Amino acid sequence: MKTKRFIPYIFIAPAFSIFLIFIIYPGILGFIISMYRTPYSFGPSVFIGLGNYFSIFKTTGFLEALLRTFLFSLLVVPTIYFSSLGLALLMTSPSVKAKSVLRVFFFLPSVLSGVITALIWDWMLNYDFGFLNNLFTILGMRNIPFLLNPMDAFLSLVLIMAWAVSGFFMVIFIAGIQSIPQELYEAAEIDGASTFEKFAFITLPMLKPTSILVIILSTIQSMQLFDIPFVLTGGGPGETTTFAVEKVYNTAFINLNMGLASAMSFVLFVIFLVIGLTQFKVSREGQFLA
Amino acid sequence: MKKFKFIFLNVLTYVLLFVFFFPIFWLVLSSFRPAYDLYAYPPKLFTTDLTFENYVNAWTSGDFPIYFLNSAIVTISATILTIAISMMAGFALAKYKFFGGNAIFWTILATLMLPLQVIMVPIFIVLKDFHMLNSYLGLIIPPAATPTGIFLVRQYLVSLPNELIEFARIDGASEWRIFWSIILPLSTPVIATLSIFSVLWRWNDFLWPLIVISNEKLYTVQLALGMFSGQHTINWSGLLPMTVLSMIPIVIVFIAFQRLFIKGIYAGSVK
Amino acid sequence: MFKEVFVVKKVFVVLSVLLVGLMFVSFAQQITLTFAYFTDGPDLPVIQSLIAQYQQLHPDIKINLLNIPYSDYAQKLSTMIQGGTPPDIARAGDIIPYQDVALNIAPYIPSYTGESVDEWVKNHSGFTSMEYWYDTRNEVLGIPWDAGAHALFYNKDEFEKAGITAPSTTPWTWDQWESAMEKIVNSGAAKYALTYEKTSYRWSNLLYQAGGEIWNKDGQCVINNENGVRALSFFVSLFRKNFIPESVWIGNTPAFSYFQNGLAAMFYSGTWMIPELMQKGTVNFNWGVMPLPMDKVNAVMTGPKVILGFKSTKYPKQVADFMLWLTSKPILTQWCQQLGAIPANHNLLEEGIDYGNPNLNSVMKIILTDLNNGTQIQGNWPANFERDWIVGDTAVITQTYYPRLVQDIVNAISGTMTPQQALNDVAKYFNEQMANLKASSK
Repeated sequence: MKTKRFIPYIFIAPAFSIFLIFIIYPGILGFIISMYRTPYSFGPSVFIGLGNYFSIFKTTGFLEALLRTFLFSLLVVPTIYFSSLGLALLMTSPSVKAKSVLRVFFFLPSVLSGVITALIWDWMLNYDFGFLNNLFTILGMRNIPFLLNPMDAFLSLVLIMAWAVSGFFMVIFIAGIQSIPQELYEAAEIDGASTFEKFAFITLPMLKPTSILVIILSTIQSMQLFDIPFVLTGGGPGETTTFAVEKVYNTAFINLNMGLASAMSFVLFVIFLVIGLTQFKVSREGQFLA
Repeated sequence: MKKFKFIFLNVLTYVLLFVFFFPIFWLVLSSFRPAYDLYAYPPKLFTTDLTFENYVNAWTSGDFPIYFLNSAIVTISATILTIAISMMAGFALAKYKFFGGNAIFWTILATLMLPLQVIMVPIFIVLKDFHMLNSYLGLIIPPAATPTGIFLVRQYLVSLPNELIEFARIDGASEWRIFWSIILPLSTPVIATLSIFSVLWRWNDFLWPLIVISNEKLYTVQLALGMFSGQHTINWSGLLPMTVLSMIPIVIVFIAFQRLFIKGIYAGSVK
Repeated sequence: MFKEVFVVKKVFVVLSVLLVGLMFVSFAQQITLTFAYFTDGPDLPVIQSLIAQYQQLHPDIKINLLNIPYSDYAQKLSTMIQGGTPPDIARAGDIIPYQDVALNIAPYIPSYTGESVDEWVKNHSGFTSMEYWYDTRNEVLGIPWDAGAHALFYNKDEFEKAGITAPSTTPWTWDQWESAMEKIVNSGAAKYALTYEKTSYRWSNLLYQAGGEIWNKDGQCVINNENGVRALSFFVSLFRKNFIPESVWIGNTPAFSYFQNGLAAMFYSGTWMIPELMQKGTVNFNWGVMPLPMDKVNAVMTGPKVILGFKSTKYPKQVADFMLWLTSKPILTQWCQQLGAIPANHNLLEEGIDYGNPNLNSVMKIILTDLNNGTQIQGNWPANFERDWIVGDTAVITQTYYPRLVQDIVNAISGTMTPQQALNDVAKYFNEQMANLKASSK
């Protein structure tokens, strides 16, 4: 009976020890680095306590990048949620044929690297030789400078990210949908429920844990987006699509200031953590999705 | 009415399919054409002068058979390990109330929020101290602990009714037996999902191998693909074919594991 | 008694066999040197074959070529260095970031080359900061390897269509260049006249041609003086007149794509594009090269590469040996011939290289003549270029904060700032960073 108490710890031990050794411990070391001023040439570092953290506020652009990141997340997470849920519903609907084959096609975008995704969308959206603008020219419409003005570039990134990850979250939703007991639907049908009612009162509530997962994961992913904007827009036009992680990257590897970059990373870390925790708490109280 | 729904849903599916797949179709097509056709103006879509030349040149430009082998070894081993430890950890977090449970869950999830770039050097030092640099172990073990995977399993298991476990305990089954004979079989959908994702993640890992490996013989496919990006230009006629080739194993795994997305079989077991 | 002697004899035999074996083992022991490298594509097979050559000459040495993607090069190298396992040798664009960890090869130069260190430095200097390190620290921290020069490529077919002849020895003035652009666009030969690579380094060539500079002798950023403003205004006007695509500078489309698909008739880049352009499948039109257009000054910038060793290596002599071999005249000649590269070695430059291919020879002739007439070669190295990009605190600031310059150029192009405002912002920022640097090194 006594051993029973330790069972959960035993089950969790393998995973947790790997985290501890290879992520948490280095994370602590990284935090220590953030308290040093590191010179650009691998010379000796100087301990400056929280100096780097104060510099963050003086660092031009970091706070703006952070705000942009939040805005981006705010737009992209609902987009991802609805498109991946929609796809999952389609891909589990009895009316749709050849589902197992079709699912692969929706999943493919999430297999691509950031560089390739950027290439594809540069080709699609380029003002002069892009596919869409070509189409517009043929149809006699005006070309759209998708990536050349701040608002369009920002929105394009929202849609591109949704395009890139919906297939991934679709798979998560499919697993969730498939584990809803069929009897619930059968019982509802006997009671004369419409398709919409079945969705709203069975599917959605039963998908709550999955929904929480999707929302928290897509929030984290969107706030850490780096590859695609880095290659596709270079953070531009100007700095209007420069997000938080790119700022950290520039500080670390172009400005060669590891100490400051480390401090920025920890600030980001704390912020993401707070957001994630808040999302989880809110959803627990049932005030979240139906 | 039913027929309308049928037509509508199928049409919608194919429209969405076009949106999601058309750019990739262009990508694959471009891999069979010379580099100057990539950005051709007007854009080239349906031409017949396709060639395998890019594929041949790209394949012979490096030791790709070895890179694919390395990627395969790492991916398969890490996936098996991931499933094992994620199922165990997710089970503990979903079905037990224990001291520090929440804190552990949040710590694990929190590691997702730390950008890898900046803890690269400390990780490197830790790996060095454990003699895991330049080795398969270094590529397999640390990434196998994925917070997303554990989160996935936990959420899935949370919605499994606790009665099953209660009844089994009353019947005198040990915790391990419960895990092995009840939880695992009922988890087929999440194991299938986790497998697909783990394959995707490990096969596509770039930053991690970049840190761990300093020996070309151990390069994975993704590291090798990075070589096509030069300082001033990107070698598209090398990158595109190899990208297409490297997508194939994932697609195969996806299709193979599809069958395991069967509807919850425990549906009847509560009765 | 017998027994003891027998045992002693046995032990003796065993020990001596072991000793001989050990000697044998250490003789045959391989030295492995890790060589961190980044490629641009065509140079990879060349470096691989050179390494094979070297290994044949030195069977006890194995060189492990660690090919790292360029965009991750700084990250990876930095991780290895800070993590305590730096490579033995590395290819780099500059010595500045590695100044405290680079190997001083001065002690090995006389025995390998037969020249005194002074003589040897003179033969290699003029292309990178190597002379600077030698003058200030009395150390030779790396060897200049090859240099890429900025070059202006053009589409011969489109030029013909527009009825323009490109210059081959006397560069165009900016005015002439602009009217050629007008002709190209108006005649319909191409949608755009020019595509220009989006980097601060590339743009600063215009800055120097207008007689401007980033830093002055006193360490003040003066990029916003009237010459700088002239350079930026000229550049911005090209966008206003639609001679040059916005997608490259405001967006992030690679400049080369516009040249590759014929949408732009000229391409401002560098000689590193030459091996790729010569490969079939890269472009489907005839291309050529012309001297860089000039304004007040005929400035032609180069982008050199160095090879350096690391202090922490276990085999400094072997590392120095390889570095000196790789940059020795015969080997450097091979390298340059196969890649259309410019050697960073005075003697070799003076003697000239036969590239073996008539097309390549004529292209390189134009480039080298331009380089010669331009102000960036053989001791004509202008102090301002060195100060801006190569040596001293001023160079450090430029090399670590250049994204701000790119950003402000983009602001000027998109119209959110005037050229004067944009450059004022750069000057303010650079001066601030300089002050920070000085403050923190006290």
